[in-house]
Amino acid sequence: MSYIEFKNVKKEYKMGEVIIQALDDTNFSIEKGELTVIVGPSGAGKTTTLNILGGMDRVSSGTAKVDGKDITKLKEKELVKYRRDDIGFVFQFYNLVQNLTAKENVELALQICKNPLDPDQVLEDVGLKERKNNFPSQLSGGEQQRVSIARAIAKNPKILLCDEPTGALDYNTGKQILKLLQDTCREKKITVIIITHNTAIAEMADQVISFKNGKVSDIRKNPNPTPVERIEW
Amino acid sequence: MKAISKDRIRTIRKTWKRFLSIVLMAMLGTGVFVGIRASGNNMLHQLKSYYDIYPVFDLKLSSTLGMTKEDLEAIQNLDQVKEAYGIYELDAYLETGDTQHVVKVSQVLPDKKQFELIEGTLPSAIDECVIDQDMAKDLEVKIGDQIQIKEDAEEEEEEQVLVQTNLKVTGISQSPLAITEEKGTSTLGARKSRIFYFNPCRQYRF
Repeated sequence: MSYIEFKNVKKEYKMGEVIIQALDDTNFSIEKGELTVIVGPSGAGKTTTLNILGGMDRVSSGTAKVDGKDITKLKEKELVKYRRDDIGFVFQFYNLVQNLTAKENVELALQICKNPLDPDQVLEDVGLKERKNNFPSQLSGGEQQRVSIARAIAKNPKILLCDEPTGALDYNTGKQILKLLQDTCREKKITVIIITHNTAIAEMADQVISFKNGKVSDIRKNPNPTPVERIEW
Repeated sequence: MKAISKDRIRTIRKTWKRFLSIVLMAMLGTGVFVGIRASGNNMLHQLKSYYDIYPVFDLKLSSTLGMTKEDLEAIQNLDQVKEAYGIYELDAYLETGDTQHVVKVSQVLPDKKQFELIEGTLPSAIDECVIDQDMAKDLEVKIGDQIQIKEDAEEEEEEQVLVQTNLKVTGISQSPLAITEEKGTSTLGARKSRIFYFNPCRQYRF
């Protein structure tokens, strides 16, 4: 059995009379410690999949298993615990608390989870040793995203979910961030799932899942992932 | 300190004007709300104690044909009745300048607390009266002033019941029966009687 397993997952949103099918019979599985990239056009269901996996949304039908646990069956309180202890989330627009310094932002996440890592060490790992006492407004976009990744990693999660982590960044900074995510996956053995529009960076993944119209259109295993440094787009 | 409390303190420090405004608004809102809640109870309590001091009758029986002494005795003899008394009452006109007001002329029983005397004395002579404070205010009548009342003009001379129509005001009253603007209806036309009016019993010729 795989580490993460999606079976016949459906997700419908009701907008008044209209029912919008965000996910229609989605099936895929991800192994532990793998780096997975999810690609697909807007509205294909990528973010919905990630939100379900992150415990922020509920399925309409089907099962979603993470580490042998069916997260669709969790109660609200258990879901909170799942989000706090098992999931690290990186957002496209960082979602940092503006009033807190980089280090305090990381600490904020750590103070609610079970066995966190040392915030100073993690910030050093993402290359922000010198900037940890700066506020988000004093940091560049790439630095802010690194704080956000540090915040997710420091929780010591089972899965790291990244929704368009490079969407708001330029080419070089984006590359640095992707390298950081790849290194995290390799060194800390965390399962990483990245959503992207950019099909070129799919090369860096162990597995690429393509979405189209709420369905998985293609799953491709990549036995020899390319290091991020060598990918050009 | 927890990061979340740090965030809160910094948010307040950064936007202290907004914070202060919200605090003031909340205080104002709470104050107004408490005031409304409290004043309702206060008013009810005030009214209750007022009615305790000046007991108002529970039931008023009146008849256009008139009530007799026998009627009064019959009512007094009822088991359910603790006390019954009779007074004479009449609707009349009061003219000031070119306006005509409808007034209610009632008999004063000095041993019954019908009203509270807030100024002056109870009437002791036949041509003296006490008027309601609202009437005094509306018509600008003071103690010592003379007022002229007139009975319904259509009635014949011998049917007139008042002996004296020229009255001297000796006191101003406040009555639990007349605490609202509306002083009840009158039998004269469709007009509401605006003014409560008390005068001595000797006024009537029966």
